[in-house]
Amino acid sequence: MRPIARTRRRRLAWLSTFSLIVVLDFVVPYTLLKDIASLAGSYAFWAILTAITIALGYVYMLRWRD
Amino acid sequence: MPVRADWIYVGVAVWFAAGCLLSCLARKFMGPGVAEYFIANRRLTAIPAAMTYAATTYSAFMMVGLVGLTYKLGSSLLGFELTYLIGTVILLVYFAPRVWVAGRIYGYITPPELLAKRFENRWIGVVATLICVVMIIPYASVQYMGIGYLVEGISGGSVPFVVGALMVMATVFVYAYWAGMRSVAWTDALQASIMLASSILLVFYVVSRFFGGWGPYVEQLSIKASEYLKVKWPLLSYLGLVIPWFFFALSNPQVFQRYYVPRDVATLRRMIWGFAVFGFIYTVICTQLGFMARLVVPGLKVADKAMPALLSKVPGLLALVIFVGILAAAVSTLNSIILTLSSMVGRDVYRALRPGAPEERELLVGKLFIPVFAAACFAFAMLKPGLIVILSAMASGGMLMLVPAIFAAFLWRRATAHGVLASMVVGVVLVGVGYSFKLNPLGLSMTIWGLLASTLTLVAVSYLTRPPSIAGEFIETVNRELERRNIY
Repeated sequence: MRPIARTRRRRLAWLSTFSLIVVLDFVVPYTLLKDIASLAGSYAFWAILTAITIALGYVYMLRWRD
Repeated sequence: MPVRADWIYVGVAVWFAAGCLLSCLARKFMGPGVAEYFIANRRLTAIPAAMTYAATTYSAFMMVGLVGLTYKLGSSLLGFELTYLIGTVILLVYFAPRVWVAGRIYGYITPPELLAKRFENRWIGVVATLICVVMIIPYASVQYMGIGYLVEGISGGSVPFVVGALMVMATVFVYAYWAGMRSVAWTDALQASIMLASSILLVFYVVSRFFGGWGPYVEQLSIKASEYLKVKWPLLSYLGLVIPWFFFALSNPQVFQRYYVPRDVATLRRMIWGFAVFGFIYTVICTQLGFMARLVVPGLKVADKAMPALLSKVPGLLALVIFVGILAAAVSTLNSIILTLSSMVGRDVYRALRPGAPEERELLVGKLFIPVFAAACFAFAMLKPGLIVILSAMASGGMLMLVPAIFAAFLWRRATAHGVLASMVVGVVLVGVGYSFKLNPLGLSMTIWGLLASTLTLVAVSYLTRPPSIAGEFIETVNRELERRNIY
């Protein structure tokens, strides 16, 4: 595959992943977890989703070079 | 029990002296020139870069406002603050390297400069600077007020409001003026360490003193405050606040300017990663303190009183350490804001309107505005004009209107200077009208309508006007450099 096409595919894959995270971040706590009165509900969901985003961000940056 | 006034003066003096020491050291490393003063000559290393980004982002709001709001609304506040963090991480990994590369190639120093030169129109820089100054000064003065009220509260009134506000003004002025960005970054590293360490100390003290461990705390939380673990914040009002904060990494010039400072790509990566981990831990701690306050000091009518009320239940020395932590959070945000605004006045207003002026004069103008802005915030805090409430509330919303232009600068060749100018003005006017008359069409905050109008205006006016000659060249040059560094 040509490098430009590969870069575009990667960019699209990351854009889709991050978009999915943003959608889940709003939708899940306000629907499935709205009335769960426990730290294991929306609180844990938001914390885990953020930890996943930070980890993914780290992976995204791994290829960067000087 | 109130903290004794002499303890407060000694504690603050020790903390201030430690910062001065770092500031003096930073001055020894400082060379001449505008780039050296305002962006440390693009040579900052990873730890100060990450810590200054974190300390600039997280203000006294975290330990006072966020704790109080969690006390009032529960888990939703973690959602609000972590959605901001998710947005910031996503925007940082995409935009920070683009801004960093553009800064190196074209020599940009301020955020509006990037827009003004990319779109070949100096008025963009002037208008963007004006918007930022009008929006941020009232927001910054609220930080002065927060510290004033807090010191008055924990001392039982023996240290007055004005002394707290003066402490903030003096510290901000010294740290920012003495050695510019390098001093601000190094002292911010100290402040970030104090913020994190003091908040962790408080959490562990409260858990062991009032609950006897984590297990009993969680048990009591789920019995006595289970309602607060549900999502209580109405969705539309939540969206109205969370969307402007989602774009904070692009809309706020004091954080945007920090993308210019890392010395290489590895440092930029560590800055982003270090900030994100710091933000995650600090946010979880602050929301947990909100829950703890709900159990230890229930029944408060005013949410902002949650932290002062919690501090009244801990030993004086610990309360003093926490106060210094909150003061550190306020000062580290304010010195960055004031330094960035000053650089913008010098670069995007003075130099842009007098292109022939020497660099020394630009630096002088910028430095002159550091005490001017520090004093303006103090005056606002002391006078407490009615307008301050509206302006500080719309600060994040107003500056959000710069975001469509930033997206267009890197992603849309067809965008024009007139489109950018019109989008900023239309967006800010709409947000201003919305906040002044308390308008929420269809239940949505005017900030969201302003963002939509600003984006549509940019597109429509750009199609009606001619794009700048360097549009394609700018985007291609930046993209070529990014590809060379394997950044996509």
